Amino acid sequence: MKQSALNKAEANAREVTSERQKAALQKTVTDLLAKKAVYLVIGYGCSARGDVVPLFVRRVEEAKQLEWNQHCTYNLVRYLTDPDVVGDPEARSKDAGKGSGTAKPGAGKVAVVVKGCDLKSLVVLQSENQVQRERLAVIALPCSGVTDQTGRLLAKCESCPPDVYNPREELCDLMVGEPVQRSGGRNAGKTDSDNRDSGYGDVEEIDALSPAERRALWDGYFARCLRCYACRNVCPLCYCKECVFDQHDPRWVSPAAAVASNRSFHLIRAYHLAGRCVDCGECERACPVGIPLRRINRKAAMVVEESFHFRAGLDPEAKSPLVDFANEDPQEFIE
Amino acid sequence: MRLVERKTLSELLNNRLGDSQIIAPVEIEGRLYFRQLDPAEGLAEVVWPAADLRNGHSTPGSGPEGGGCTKAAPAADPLTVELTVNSLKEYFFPRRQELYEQTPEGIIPRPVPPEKQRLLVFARPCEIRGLAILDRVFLGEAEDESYKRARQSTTVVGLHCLQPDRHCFCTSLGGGPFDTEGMDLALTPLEDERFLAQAISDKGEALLASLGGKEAGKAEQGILEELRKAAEATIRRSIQVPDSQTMAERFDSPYWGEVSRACITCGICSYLCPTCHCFDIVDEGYLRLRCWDTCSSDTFTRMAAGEDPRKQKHSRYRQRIYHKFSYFKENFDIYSCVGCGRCTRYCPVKIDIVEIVNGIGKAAAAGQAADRASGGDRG
Amino acid sequence: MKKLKIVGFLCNWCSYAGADLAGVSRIQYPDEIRIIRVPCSGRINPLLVLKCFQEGADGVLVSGCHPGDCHYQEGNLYARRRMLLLRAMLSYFGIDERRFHMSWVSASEGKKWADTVRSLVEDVRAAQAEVKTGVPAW
Repeated sequence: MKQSALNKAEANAREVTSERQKAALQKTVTDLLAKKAVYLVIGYGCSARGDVVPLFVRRVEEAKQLEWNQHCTYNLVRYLTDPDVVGDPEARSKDAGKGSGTAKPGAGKVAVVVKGCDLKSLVVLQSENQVQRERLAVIALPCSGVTDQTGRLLAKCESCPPDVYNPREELCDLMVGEPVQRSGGRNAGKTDSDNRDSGYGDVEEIDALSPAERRALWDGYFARCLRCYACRNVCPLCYCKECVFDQHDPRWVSPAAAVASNRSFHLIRAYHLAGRCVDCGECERACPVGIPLRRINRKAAMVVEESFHFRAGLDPEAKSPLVDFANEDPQEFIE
Repeated sequence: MRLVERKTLSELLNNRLGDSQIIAPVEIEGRLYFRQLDPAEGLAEVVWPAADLRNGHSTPGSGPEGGGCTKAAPAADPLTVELTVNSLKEYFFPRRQELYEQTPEGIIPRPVPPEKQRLLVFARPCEIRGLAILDRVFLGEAEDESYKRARQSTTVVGLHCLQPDRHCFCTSLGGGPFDTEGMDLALTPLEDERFLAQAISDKGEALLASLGGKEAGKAEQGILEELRKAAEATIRRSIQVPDSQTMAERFDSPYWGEVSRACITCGICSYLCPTCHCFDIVDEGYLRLRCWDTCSSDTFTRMAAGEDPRKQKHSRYRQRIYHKFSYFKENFDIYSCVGCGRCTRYCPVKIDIVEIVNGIGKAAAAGQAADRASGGDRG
Repeated sequence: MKKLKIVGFLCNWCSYAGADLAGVSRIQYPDEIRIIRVPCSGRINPLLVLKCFQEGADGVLVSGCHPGDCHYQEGNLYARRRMLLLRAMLSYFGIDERRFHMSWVSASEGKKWADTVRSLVEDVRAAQAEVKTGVPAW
């Protein structure tokens, strides 16, 4: 009883906070657009039927359509590497510009609304030179956590540390809203960069199974996988113009959905994200057949953290661990 | 029409497990999928309609509705999703299908499995109508043998929808939650784990005969009518496809860039759609096979030498809409859409096909003015 | 006993030379390994290892120079990181880590090469023996 009353109180506080933030956000964006400081703002909007959707705002009068609430789950950083959104300087397509409404390259700054978790993926993009940081206006919002449709907090939010849900000021251009106070939750009082227990319990649970049990567990999920590539396409860090899975000469993995090729797909994708994935959780949210994708990416993250002492999303100058080495890298597994 | 107990239906299905393949909805980790039942497991995994509605079927949670709905949406919206994630399409047009091997010794076709009767149970009116649309493609001039075999060997037991959810819009496309088109036997779930069963075809008559049950009377007819009206009334969405002239005029509009901007070009809408049927031919070593493909993908129209007429996202999304609501209509006199709502329900960014199609006509009216105001290219 | 299919990626300067030394010294070791010569262990794209498993290999070995002795200075140090992660991910999906080995074998270590292959074959055989019949190699 007491817990649910606490939750209700928190939920109410959350709503009030997000209403205030929404108003402040709309005002901030109105100013940016009026001053022509940016030509595009990527934020959250609300469809006619009440669903939160990505919103692309260009005109001052559109700023009031911006939304901010507990359902703003999307990682909008994904759109910063989408040439059909921010314009592709290398576009040579004959129908470029006609009917597409994309910006001419070099036209100015793009603003993007981010939560702390989203911001971490931007940090990785920066470290990989995939964005021109000076052409971005990063609008960060302290976040009380996002929920599914039933109002239940997403799993990733339960272990979110304070220096993520209150985004680090030095990484943003504009902060909208006061820092959030969240009661309880794992990692309360700790920071993201602490050498803390990152809580890889969900991964360790699977590690504890026998190889045959693991095989059966994952094969079950891979049998469901449709190879829709929603996980890849929603990911802010899967930005390759030609993805390894789209290559057909050489063809590394068959595109036909079957357990064997799906296993290859998920293994390779997680491998390509090792030391880069910031666990924004969008892949798992997007999957229509409920594959626990975070548990795959977090396995790679756990190995990278334990063996190479690196965590993604903290330092925009960091070198990606898989294009690096250290003299003291572990080698017990080598004969 | 007969009144049938769940017990009787259950017995019939159990008996058929020996000689037929039974495909029915099962629940896996909170979501419903069509699955071919394992005779060893029997009906244990099957999700029965009425009983579960009564107990409140498990909610997908952060899954298909994960985009989140604000409080602007009516709180009365049922969170219960009655529809399976995958449509029954894959039991007629599999997601991966081996065709033949091309060996140095010659072409060896894949063996055709022995004909076995199939019973597809608890399929919904919308996706069953989808089969009629797929028939146009796979049973047309170039008949698809395996599809034909699958169609001929399958008895379709449809289930009426008591509670269409907020994404359903079958009624504006000539269907309805209590439709019977394409079914062999139509079931309507009632209270106390009973069903009304109607034979729609000869196969259905035979099935009904083996079910027995009490002949339904006027009272039952009345209940059926009430339930139908109630179900239809819950459908609040309606798609209005513009006429062909408007569609032609709006082809080059910047509207397509606007409405497709959020799209992440995955394959969810195409793969879950009961009527989408595009495929790729792929070689795995010597083995040539057919697998699902999606026009949303940026490799769909990729050709040799790197040419790609639909390199831009907006042209691909536009193609999806035109294929379903313009070209297919021209060729087959029917829209390639049954209003099941899966595309919107599972879209990771909640792209809404109904809003977009309905908006074409409005864009047409406002179009010229908007184009002039923004100087054509909204840069 | 079923003949195993094991692929070995050997770097040209150390491991391949070491294997060659084993050969000219007439040291006996199992012939179930099929060797692919590469310039450096750092050239090995993990996709190549996966391709072997996809095509039905029972086991894969990557062998290079000892750290500090790489002909290209640090190629093997990149390989070390990559293969550690690959092994962990394979194991996570239930592909027994005994099926994927890495070794440092120098040009003068003919005997070590033979020993490496012997223990590798034992490990792969043991791993595959535990797999239920009907479960494919990949």
